[in-house]
Amino acid sequence: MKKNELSGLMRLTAIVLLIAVGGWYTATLLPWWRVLVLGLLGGLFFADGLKKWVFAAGFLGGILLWGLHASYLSGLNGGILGERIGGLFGGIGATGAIVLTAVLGGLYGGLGAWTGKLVRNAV
Amino acid sequence: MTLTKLSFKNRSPRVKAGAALVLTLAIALISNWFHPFGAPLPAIGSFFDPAKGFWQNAEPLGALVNRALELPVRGQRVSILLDDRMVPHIFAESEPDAAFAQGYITAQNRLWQMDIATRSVGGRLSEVLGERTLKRDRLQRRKGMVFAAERALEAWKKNPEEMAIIEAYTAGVNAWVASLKPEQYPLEFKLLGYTPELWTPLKTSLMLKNMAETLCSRSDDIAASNSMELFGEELFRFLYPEYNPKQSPIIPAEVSWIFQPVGKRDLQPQLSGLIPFKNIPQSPEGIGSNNWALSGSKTASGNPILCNDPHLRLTLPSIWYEVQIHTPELNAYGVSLPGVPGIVIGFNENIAWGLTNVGQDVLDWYRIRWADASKSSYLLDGASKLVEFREEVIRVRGRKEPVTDQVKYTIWGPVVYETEPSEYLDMAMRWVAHDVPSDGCPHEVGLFLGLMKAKDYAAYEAGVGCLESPAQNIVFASRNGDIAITVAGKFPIKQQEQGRFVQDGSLSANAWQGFIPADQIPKVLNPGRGFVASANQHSTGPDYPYYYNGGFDDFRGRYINRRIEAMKGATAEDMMALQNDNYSIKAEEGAPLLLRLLDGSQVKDPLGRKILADLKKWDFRFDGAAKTPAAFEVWFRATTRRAFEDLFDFEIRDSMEVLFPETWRLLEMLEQQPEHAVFDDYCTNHNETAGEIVTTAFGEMVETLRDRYETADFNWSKQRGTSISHLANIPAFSANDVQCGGYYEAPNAISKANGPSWRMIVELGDTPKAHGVYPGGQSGNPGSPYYDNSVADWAAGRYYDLLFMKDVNDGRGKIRGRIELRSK
Repeated sequence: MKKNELSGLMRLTAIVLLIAVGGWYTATLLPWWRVLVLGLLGGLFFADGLKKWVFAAGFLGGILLWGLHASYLSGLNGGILGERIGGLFGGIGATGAIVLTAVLGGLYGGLGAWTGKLVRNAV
Repeated sequence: MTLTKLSFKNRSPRVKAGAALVLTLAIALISNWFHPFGAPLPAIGSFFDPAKGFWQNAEPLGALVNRALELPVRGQRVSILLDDRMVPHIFAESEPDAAFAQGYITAQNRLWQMDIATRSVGGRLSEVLGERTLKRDRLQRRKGMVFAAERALEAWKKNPEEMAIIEAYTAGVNAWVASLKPEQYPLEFKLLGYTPELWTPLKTSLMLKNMAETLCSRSDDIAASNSMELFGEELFRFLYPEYNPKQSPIIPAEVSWIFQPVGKRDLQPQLSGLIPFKNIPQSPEGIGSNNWALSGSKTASGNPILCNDPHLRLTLPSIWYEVQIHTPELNAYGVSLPGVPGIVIGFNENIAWGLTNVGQDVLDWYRIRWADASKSSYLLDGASKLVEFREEVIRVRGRKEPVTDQVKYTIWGPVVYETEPSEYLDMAMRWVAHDVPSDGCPHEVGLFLGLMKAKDYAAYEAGVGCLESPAQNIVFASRNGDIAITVAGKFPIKQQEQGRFVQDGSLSANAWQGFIPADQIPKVLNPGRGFVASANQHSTGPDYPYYYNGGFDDFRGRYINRRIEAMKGATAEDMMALQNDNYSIKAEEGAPLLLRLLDGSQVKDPLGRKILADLKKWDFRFDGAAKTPAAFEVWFRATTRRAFEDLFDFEIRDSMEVLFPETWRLLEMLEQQPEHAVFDDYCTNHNETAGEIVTTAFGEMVETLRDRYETADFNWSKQRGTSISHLANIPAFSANDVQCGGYYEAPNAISKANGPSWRMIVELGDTPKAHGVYPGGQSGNPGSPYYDNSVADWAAGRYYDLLFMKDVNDGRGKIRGRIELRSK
């Protein structure tokens, strides 16, 4: 099946997975901006014809990647570090630190995907 | 908003794509920017990335460490066993291998602490923290801290055995540093946005100079000079006598001084006039310590018991790192200073040792008279002498060019303070810690290694005789029944009151006359009273032939001596109780005295009467949950202020350092001369007495506590407010508002920011039984369960049984991890 024949939902899912799974496997190779770049690639290759939800898909990918990773590490640690980092950012606690991490990951993923789609539309 | 959206939607796809790319790039750059727009934030992107940033410092709970590594050790293998509190037990075939392992495991736990401490002492903070620390860095350089460390290192290099240990330790630290990937950097490096650098022997030297600065750089010369100038000699001597007749010195009176002291004593100290400087940085008060040893005649088991609790700044990570070191030559356990190989306070199978600081003044100020306007030469005995310049280069984050400072060195030492425009006021610092250490004697690292190996008094005596700076009261006990204490250090021979005031630096006759010979320093072995003890008080009685000038109040020392004097059949539990004792002689003498002087008829409101009643039945203990200690403390402080602040007018107090009488002297004056003119308020026509001051101060105290005293959660612990601060003062990484008793003038000397930084009790015998605790944890990582795990136990006065392993298999079920180093 060619990629432009994929259904909209599948294409969105591809963006999510590219960021979440690709981000996981490139973690040791690339710095933090891999989320942005993977989002961008997702937007370039999978967002063709999609009118909505591209940013959301990138956002979800980023949230899954950073949020799940942070939750996992925080869980093993009993939230000790999350609690302290939460204290640095206005006392938001370990949960707050995880949410903040997830939202940042989401933002980078979403921004990447959205930009990728617009670039794709332009060329 | 809608308009913007509409207009964006209507743009051509290229414009949209371009705008999106620009926006994304901008967000990427901001996320990659340390301190974006000047905000105190790390580079957000990498900091939050769970694969690279702070989450990587979240240490899994209960994780077992089992690693085998190939590293350049000399022997076949070195084993580091980690117990249930993450204390490393190092088993090595040689001392250099043990030092390598100690460096490796210490760096693994405390790398950032080691980095920031050496930056702080050596004036290199601005490299990573920018402009805000430049002033401090410059002062550290001007105080000659790097100069001192370099000189010490040069001397160490002449002693190959000692240097081999330091180099092995350095290699161990660097083996850890070299293995680090950026995601493994300690959290603070990520937060502050810089990378770890390699360790060097100079940094070890800097760590020791850091201790010297903390412990022996206090000096009241300038304040005393100003007070003498303002009051004249008669009033000065009345207010500031040097010897408390109630003093209970470290060396008991039974020791006599049967030697001919060296040095002349015919010259008068040169006074220098007013010195209008203010806010000269001082090491804080409340830095002091307790140690004591009981002979078998005083203990239940018949074995000697040795105890030590050094009172230092309470920080996270803690100043101490617990460790056991085992080689074919030695088996020792205790606390080490991160950055320094060996054990500083501890014990082995045969002996135990502990330290308190000696209060003797070893830092004096000399006024320099310049011989030329450019201040490149100064007068000495009428002739002109060139200064030596030492260039200090301070790199500052955010600046392209480093800041350079030409520090002038005179025969006294560096010119630390230079005032404009008066050329007369410049002062040079004569400090024992600047001196080149003597040859032919082990230096700090060798000295502690000697104690780690020592089997008896002779070995202890040989070792402690070599300590130069910072001077320490080194207490000792041995399995074969000896106890001893030595006031160890390099002490300048001074004439009466020399160095109490700033001296004239243009006369070489004002120099120290050498140092007290090693066989004349105060010490005692097996005194008749069956114990030795020190708490920073005077080393000796006034009959000791050399001049002593030191500024510690002696309430702790007097109480500890009194308590141990009365002890029989003492156990380790009794020792724990004494280390945690909140009783203060300051209150025992001060509270009844203030109550006697108070005009009770003036206390009319109900709260005042309630507090008065509480004070009358108070037991003089600064227990955390009690309210009365807070009332006493506020009342006593108000009394002191009211008694002495009008001695100096505001202009003077705001423009220069002045001396306040010591607490014991205030108590003595209140008791013996309550009608003395010093208690009169010069601003009124009426002649005030001590009674009126005490009564007014009582009213002030009641007003201060009015809204708090009777609330349910108010107590002494809250009033004092003790916090154990992270080294970068980050509240989220600190233990804030620790609830505990204690008072800086009680054995349990907990104050707002200082306190017992390690409590140790060692009972010698067939196998030593030791107990210890410090307010922190073995890990320096705020994301580790071992970061502050001991704070609650410390605050509650609980101890851990220290696991002193006989051999590598003696883990007694407590070993949780193991790191094997094998030779490459």
